[in-house]
Amino acid sequence: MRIQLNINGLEKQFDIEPGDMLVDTLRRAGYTEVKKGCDTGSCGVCTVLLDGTPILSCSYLSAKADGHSITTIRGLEKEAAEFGEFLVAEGADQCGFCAPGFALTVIAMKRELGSPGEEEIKHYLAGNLCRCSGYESQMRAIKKYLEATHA
Amino acid sequence: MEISTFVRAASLDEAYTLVHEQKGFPVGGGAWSRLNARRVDLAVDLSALGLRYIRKKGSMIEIGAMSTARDIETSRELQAAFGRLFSDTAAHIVGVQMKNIVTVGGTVAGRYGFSDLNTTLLATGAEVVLYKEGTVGFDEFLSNRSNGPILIEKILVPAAGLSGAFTTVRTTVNDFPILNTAAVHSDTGWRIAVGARPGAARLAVEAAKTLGAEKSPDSLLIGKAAEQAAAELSFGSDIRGSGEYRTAVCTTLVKRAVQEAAQ
Repeated sequence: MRIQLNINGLEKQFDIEPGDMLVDTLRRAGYTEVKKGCDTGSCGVCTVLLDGTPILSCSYLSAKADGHSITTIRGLEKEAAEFGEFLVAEGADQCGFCAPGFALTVIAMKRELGSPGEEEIKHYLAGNLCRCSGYESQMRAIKKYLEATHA
Repeated sequence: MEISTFVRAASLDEAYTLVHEQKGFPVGGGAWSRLNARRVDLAVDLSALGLRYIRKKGSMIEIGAMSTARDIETSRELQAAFGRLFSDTAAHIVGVQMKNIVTVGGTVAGRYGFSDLNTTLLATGAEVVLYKEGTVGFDEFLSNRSNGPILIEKILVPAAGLSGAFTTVRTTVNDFPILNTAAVHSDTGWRIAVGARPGAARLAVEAAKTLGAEKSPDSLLIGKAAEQAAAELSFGSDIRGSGEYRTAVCTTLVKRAVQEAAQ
């Protein structure tokens, strides 16, 4: 079947199998910034924004996404780079595999909650696993990023 | 899940025809498609049917089948009627990304044993509205293991004068529950539901009778009811816990849920 997605502002068509998952469709088309991790909906590395809302692309049927807009980390390059500076400053970015999904979720959280407290941050990001950082440095980076960019 | 044909239904009537007459498989969030080995000839996407809403109507709250777990967690209507009951219930579902996918209709239709939401809906005395097929009580729906075609339109939750609490134990905060309980008090008395036994949620009817109609039963009565709940329900073993462990934990969780709901 053929589906149409708006990816990072550009209309694209894809020929897919009806049971294909979005992460595979995107990666096959070259959007390899969408990482494939656990593939069971547990780790958050495959996060993309569907019409602005964070979802796990490993747990979303490509066919269901037909007609919708998808944002990968490439589509939020400026915001992601800005957040990335805080990650680097706090030593929170190590192997980097979780970074695209993590950064997208942080940006979505900022848009949805504005200036959340520590417990809200933990809750919102509970679906993003990182095996390198231990989360403390990430938490510092998020707090400083939110503080610096909160209007 | 292996799917041969995928159709996005344009109306509830079309979806009903596809599901009931062409053996179509309704797709809610489709979150388990990757892990499901099922072969589906016709998948029917329900996302264009306007079934994503949570709204108060008279003394009921209507939850559209395509409302997401995140909608449940953040709904002002549910918060106004039940306080933290529904937000606590949805809190442990993996992460916000998964909550944005998982739908109420898919969760209810799956009758999943691990479901947190089904436990709370059962405790509230909710009803399941099956399009063109009528309304079924939640306990009857969960107990019916028939594989016949169903198309869930919405869930009706009685909202007047109810207060409740949800408690759970899990290995990690976002893992599936080892056990979950919900206790809800209304004018007619208590309803206590226990889920992840690991089977689908069931009501602890005798335990609820023990509590009587009072909203604030004394601690002795609460303790007795909690023990009764553990005694009257059956518990099994799986990778997350033994039946013996679940039986022991049930007493504590029911006690805490009733105490919190009674406040």
